[in-house]
Amino acid sequence: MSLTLKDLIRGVRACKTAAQIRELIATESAKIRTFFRNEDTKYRPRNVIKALYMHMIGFPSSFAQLECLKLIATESFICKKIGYLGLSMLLEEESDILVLATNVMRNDLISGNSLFISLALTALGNLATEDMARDLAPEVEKLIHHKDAFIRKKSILTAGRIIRKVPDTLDRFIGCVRNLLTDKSHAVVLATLSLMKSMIEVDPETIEKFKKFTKGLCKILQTLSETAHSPEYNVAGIVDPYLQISILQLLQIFGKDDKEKTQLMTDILAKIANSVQSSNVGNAVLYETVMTILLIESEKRSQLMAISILSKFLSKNSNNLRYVALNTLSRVVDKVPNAIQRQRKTIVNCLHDSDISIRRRALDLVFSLVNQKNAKTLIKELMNYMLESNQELRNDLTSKICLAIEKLNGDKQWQLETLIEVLEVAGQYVSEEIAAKTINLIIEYSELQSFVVHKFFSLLNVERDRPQKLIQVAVWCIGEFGDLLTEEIEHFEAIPSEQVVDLLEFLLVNTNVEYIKYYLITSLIKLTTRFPDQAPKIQDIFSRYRTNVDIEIQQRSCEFYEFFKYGDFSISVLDKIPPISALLDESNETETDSQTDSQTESQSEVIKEDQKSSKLQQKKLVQEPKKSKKQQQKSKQQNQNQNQKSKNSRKRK
Amino acid sequence: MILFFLIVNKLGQTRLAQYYSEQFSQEHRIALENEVTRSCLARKETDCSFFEFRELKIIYRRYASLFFIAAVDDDENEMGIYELIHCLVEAYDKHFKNVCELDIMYNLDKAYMILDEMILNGVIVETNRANVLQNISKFDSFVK
Repeated sequence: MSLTLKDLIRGVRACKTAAQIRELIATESAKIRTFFRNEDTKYRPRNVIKALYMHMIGFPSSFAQLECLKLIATESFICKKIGYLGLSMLLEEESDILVLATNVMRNDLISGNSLFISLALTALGNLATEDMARDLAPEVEKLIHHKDAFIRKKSILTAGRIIRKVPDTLDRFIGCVRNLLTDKSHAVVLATLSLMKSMIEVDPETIEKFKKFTKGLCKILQTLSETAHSPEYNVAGIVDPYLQISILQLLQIFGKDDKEKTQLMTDILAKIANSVQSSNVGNAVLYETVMTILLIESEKRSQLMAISILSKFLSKNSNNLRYVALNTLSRVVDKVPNAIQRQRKTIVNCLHDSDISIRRRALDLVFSLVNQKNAKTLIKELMNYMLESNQELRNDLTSKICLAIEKLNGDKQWQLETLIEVLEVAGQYVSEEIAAKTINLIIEYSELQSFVVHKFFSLLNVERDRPQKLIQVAVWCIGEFGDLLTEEIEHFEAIPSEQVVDLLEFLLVNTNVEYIKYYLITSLIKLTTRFPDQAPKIQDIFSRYRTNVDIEIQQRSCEFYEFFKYGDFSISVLDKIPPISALLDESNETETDSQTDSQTESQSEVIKEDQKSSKLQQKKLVQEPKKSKKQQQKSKQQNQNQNQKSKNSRKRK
Repeated sequence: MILFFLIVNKLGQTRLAQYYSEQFSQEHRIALENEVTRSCLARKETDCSFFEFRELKIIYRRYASLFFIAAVDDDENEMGIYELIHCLVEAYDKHFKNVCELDIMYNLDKAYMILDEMILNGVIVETNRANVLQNISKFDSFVK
């Protein structure tokens, strides 16, 4: 005797611990396997469905796969039903068993028994593989003209899957679309619309062929919107909303970038937008209508009406409506930017919603709204928002803010100030990429370098325990533009060179982050050329770090220490990095010049050795600023010497 | 297009799962179902019924201890699917007379059949409750 599914479920529910459940399932599946082995037919459906239950609660049940095949091969409806269910639940596309099932399915499809046909179609629609689709396409094609609407709709949807699996079958099915669109049954029309969408997905060229149906589809919409009540297709008081939605989705495709077709739709769209009841399902239709109006080439008047409907959605209490409103707005923001800008305040308010789905949608939208005009207020708003947002959002938010700031190059001073502020308040969330981009901007804006380096110095001077990324960028700037610190500028006093070196030394001693130390050491060597008077002090620092336990620090210190032996700090590798835009221009000019190329190579080698940590420098410092040829050769020699020396120094170690 | 449809109880136990897309392999399904349910449970009652989960959009509705969850791609009308879930629940309710978790568990094959009448290949087939149940009773009468 075999347990029923009910008994098994009761047994599982009576178990107190997971171990007990495991034990129960293990005994039961052993029993089921025995039944299967003995080729028992009486309890086969029952055993298979138990195996399906086990599968669903996470236990292995692949042993039932072959039994499913045996079940669908029987002539009993119940057996077939469970067999097909098992196939769609247990099997994956690659499974060999599906190959075996193909023939049984073909027999069912041509059996003439509408229930068997229906079962086979459902299974085929949900799990058809490429081979199956190819083999059974002719049978499915015949069924599309079946007298029973119930079979017609299923075969049409199955055809949709077949086309997606085997695109060549498209020609087989495309011819019947016209007739099917005029079918009496709404379900068949709905299925046909899905089939058209599958065809468009597989081959976008079919759009042009389908465009001729625009008028007919509008007419169906018209009839639906005029029908006051139709019990057969009624869903929560609206006449066949899913058919309406599906037609609207196709109209979106047809009306896109097509003024002529758009005109055919304008009237009916406006009518629906003004007449749909506001219930859940009514709003579903309204939402799709608005989306359609905004995605096709509508006139300004219609667009404004659509946006005003969305703004009504936004002001509603229902979070679902607000979600879809924000979703639609983000999809059309490029098309009607001005009308959406007017909703800015409401959208910004959504940033403070308690629901993360709403916040995320709003955030995406706000970022696409940022432009030169409103950047300052919006970014301020976003910065405030970042401070109160949770961890999960912050990483994403920080990089998005930085990217937005980077794009808006109107007010350079504002741009850099804001980036520095981001580093200051959210430095721990800033990515390496953003840090590199910030440095990049600072190199580009040569007129602001003095301000930036003063700003960084004062930030670090006031409070030395800052986010790592802030320290990283600040230290790089101080190394690069340290000389500018000794000049007084507006709002900032001149800083004596000694204090600058002291600060870096303090950080070097106190930070315990390795890569910051690498930055500090590289910055210090650069400062030797900026402040020749501080050279002995810096040499002293390097001499101490030559024995550091960190191999990278040790190597750098040793190499840099060697520099001092020459006493001449006009070494070109320590020069300021020129703006990258200038570099790009120049490298275009000199691309053909092989001599310069070889020089570039030897230099970049030096750079690789000396400044490994600073990726930006490594990549971008391709070429020195213009020099006479003599100088070039001289520096080349020098570089080679250094190369040699640093190699030697490593050998010595 | 609907990518998968789940009925899960609030303990995260799957009661029904139908997949319409090949992108979810058998071995990852259990973990995926757990994660989706956890995300649904983490949401407050006043929160909206949609959220993004990896590349998917999840639409869910809660009825007593059961979550009805649909994962869709970008082109689907969220409000429409939200209402579709209700249509399905109404159909279950009518068929099982006040549906509860056990009804779905004990009558697994029936639960799947009703779902298959409404969604096929990730597309909506039929939403009218009466039409759906008419087909089901056709099957039933054949069996008798």
